[in-house]
Amino acid sequence: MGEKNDNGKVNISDWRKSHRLSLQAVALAIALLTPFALFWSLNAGLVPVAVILFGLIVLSMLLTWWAG
Amino acid sequence: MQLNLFTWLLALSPVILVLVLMLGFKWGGSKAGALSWFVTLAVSLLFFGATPLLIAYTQVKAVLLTLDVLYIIWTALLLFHVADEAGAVRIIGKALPRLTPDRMMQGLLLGWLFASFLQGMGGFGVPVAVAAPLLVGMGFSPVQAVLMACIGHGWAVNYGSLATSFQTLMALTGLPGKLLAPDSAFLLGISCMVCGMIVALIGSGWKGFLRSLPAVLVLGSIMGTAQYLLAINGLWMLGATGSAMVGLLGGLVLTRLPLYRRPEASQAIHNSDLINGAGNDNKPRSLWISLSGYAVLVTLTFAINLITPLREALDVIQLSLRFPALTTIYGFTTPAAAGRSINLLGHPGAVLLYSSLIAFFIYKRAGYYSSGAESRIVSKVLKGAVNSSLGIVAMVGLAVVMSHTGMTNLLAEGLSQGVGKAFYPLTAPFIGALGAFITGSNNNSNVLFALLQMRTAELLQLSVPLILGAQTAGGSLGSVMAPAKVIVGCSTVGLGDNEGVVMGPVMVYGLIPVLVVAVITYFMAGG
Repeated sequence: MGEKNDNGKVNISDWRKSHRLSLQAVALAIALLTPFALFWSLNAGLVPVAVILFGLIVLSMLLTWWAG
Repeated sequence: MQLNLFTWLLALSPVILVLVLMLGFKWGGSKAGALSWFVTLAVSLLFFGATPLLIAYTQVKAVLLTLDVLYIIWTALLLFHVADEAGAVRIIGKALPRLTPDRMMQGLLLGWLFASFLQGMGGFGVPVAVAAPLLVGMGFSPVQAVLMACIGHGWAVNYGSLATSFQTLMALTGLPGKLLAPDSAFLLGISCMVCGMIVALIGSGWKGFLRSLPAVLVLGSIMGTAQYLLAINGLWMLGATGSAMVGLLGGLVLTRLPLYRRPEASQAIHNSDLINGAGNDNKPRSLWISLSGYAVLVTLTFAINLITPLREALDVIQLSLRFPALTTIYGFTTPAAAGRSINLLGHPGAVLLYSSLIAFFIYKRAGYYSSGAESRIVSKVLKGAVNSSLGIVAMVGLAVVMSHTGMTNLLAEGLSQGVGKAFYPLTAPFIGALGAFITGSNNNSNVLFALLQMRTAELLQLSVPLILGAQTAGGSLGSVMAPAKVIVGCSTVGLGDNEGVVMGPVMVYGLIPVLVVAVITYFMAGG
């Protein structure tokens, strides 16, 4: 999954750096696509779905911050 | 929400945070934007009465605005890498010094005149995305290139993109264009010269700045006058394009003068890793074929903007959503309206996409690509665009939350109430610039503040056209400082993670023309 340090454990920081573009691409895809589903769920009155979808947007922002 | 110092500072906190993170901590736009997004949401929920429903809808609105911008960024990057991979940028970079070996004039031609011309035809970010890499190709540093392209076109934003921002000003205020045009065109005409001087200063230092003065004054006068005449005669849609074209012609004439043919500049070709090594294969490349990508862009833009049946044919597919009225628990309401409509086939991004595809075909037919060029182009576009796109997603997201919770309105109210009648004309352009800085757009600044400025001018018994002219001139000049726009420029010159390096100087240089407009407005209002 990623580079291991001397203790055989994955170094999160190195892994993040080496997978930065992929992480950011995932964050971008979520950030750009989820709002359309959110709009649909809000208009359909599907509140639980809307909550989950907004959670995805929050997740994409967290990922953006972490990968940035 | 009651206006007081505490609430005003709270409303300002997202802007301050972005600036501190980018300027102080040198964070990239995506990281700074994401953290500021969370802070904006928290402030709006805790202090400005935002509801979860309002926040959710703002993020949908924000993604439409974001896509409008990203459409241009991705396709501008595509056009650049299509040309760069073919070695065309290198050939253009080598050719311009032959037109004029003078580094200062090269900077003016590309960073001021060509960028303004692109602003006249394109929209958000096109001048920076196209001109900045070309400037790097001519030997300017990436930071210089972004600064020059950003500042150089600031005066042309209001009447650029078929005068969209000016049309919004007319629509919102209900005032006729012929009443609003003279003051705004005059203020922007003066700032045109200031922008040119700053471009010369950034590109060539104080010596270049002093030597540029005759050229800048002549070209600035020509462009300012042309824009003024076009605007007051009802041709505001062509205000920036027409004046920049006249300016480009004038610039080419000036390059014939001995004063502007100093050979000191012929040194600099390619000081950056940004420019591809393509073209080093010793295959001969024609300048005209190399230029074809950009020529196609110019031709298509003109055709789509000016040939009505063609424009109407491309207007058939629009991406648009209709939003309900959104109200905070303190009663700040954003009326029900359609969100940003994205014209999928006639959008400036679409024009860049067509240009890229046609250019790719031309370069391929000419044998300018080595094997694997397609995958290299796609890879470079991805690497250049993803990080910047995330920054824009976050910045636009927080800006829309601010405007829908009354935070942006409160900022402007605080500014306007903090100064009296005597000094309000000095403040008006800064309010316009603030709106554009936060939202990244002259148009959005007018949407946010035009009515506020008009009512304040009426209350203070100031000239309404003058204050509105100052608003939209400030918005035009302020939009070039917006983090989202800086991110666009940085992404095209390989500064994708170092936007903070550009943000500081772009604000210092960008505030100069706003200050000039403010002083002129002050004196025009009676001092």
